[in-house]
Amino acid sequence: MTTCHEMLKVLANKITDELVVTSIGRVRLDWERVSEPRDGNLYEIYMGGATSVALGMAVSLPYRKIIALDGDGSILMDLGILLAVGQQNPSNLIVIIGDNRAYEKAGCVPTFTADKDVSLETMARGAGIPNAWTVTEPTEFQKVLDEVYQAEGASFIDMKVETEPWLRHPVTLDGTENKYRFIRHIEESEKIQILIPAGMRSPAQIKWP
Amino acid sequence: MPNDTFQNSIRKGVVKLKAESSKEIVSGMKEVGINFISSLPSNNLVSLIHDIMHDPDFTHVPVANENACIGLCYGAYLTGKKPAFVAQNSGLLMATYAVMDSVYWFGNFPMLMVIDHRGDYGDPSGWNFVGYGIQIPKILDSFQIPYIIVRDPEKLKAEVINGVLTATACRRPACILISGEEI
Repeated sequence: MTTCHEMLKVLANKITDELVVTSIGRVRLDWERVSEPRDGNLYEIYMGGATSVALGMAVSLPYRKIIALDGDGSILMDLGILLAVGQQNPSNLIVIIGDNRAYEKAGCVPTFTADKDVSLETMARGAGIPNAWTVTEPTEFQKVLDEVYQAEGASFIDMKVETEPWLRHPVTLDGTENKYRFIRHIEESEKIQILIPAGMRSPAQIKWP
Repeated sequence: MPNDTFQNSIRKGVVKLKAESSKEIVSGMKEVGINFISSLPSNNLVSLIHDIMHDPDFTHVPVANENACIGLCYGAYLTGKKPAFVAQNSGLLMATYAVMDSVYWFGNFPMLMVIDHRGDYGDPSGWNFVGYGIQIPKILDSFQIPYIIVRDPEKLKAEVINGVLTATACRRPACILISGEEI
């Protein structure tokens, strides 16, 4: 088993124009460390929310790859979202769990995945997600990642990683700033208008072009 | 929902929102371009949920917990959709954790909330919803989310349109609380 940081280097080397949504915690910290600065990253979604935000994106932009970087504590807070992922089953969505089996920032108190009998992969498959995997090493992660990029239907990867000392890491991007930069990135790359100028007064004016 | 199950619901009197009221809401949503809806059923909104889930103009994502609706609507908005959240007011309470995050960390986003407002003044079966009827407007106030309580079915379409105009202008959620069993 290796660190989340080492695992995410594999992902950072692979992505091009994918949109990446992270929860709070270890995955947020390590993705910012390994990713080049890019406006296609949306950081620090509330616990239990990163996968739902990513699913909303995946069904809205079905031709663009969306990656949810969630934590074990975070996904455990809303396991029901796996059912929605399974039901919608978008081939462009990959949910990756940085599973360090602990609430690391909160003193490494164990999460339920610390129990050897608990399997997020099995839960994902049981929720109807056709491509569900557990990986423990970067080479294995690389192989699975290559496979799920080509797979039909939604994908879920439980990435088992070690706990590490928590780094005091300054938040470099304010959430509101992150949101607007992300929106402008989507507007530019998808050639659509999302932010509607203030002062629109009629239903026809606020409809998308 | 299979149609025969829906018909059974009507016969048993479960469906409270009249079919024509549901059509008014859907018509208002379409007029202002709502095209993404995340929902969890409420017994008063069965006819609306039924209409939404069978309408190809809407991308509909049902969930098991209303908290997920906010994340789904946020993701849809960020990628160019115009989202709405449909649930009972107890579901809005469930979703407040996600609403808090979107309001204070991400500086908000426009979304229409269509909420079955149980326990409101005059709700004859509101005995187990009384807390929601009293507290939900206060919770919306505390989030600075503009809202209106609608008791007249003839105003539904106009207020749905107004809700989206408000959400768009304020770049934050706007909420329509649908009150009354027979609206």
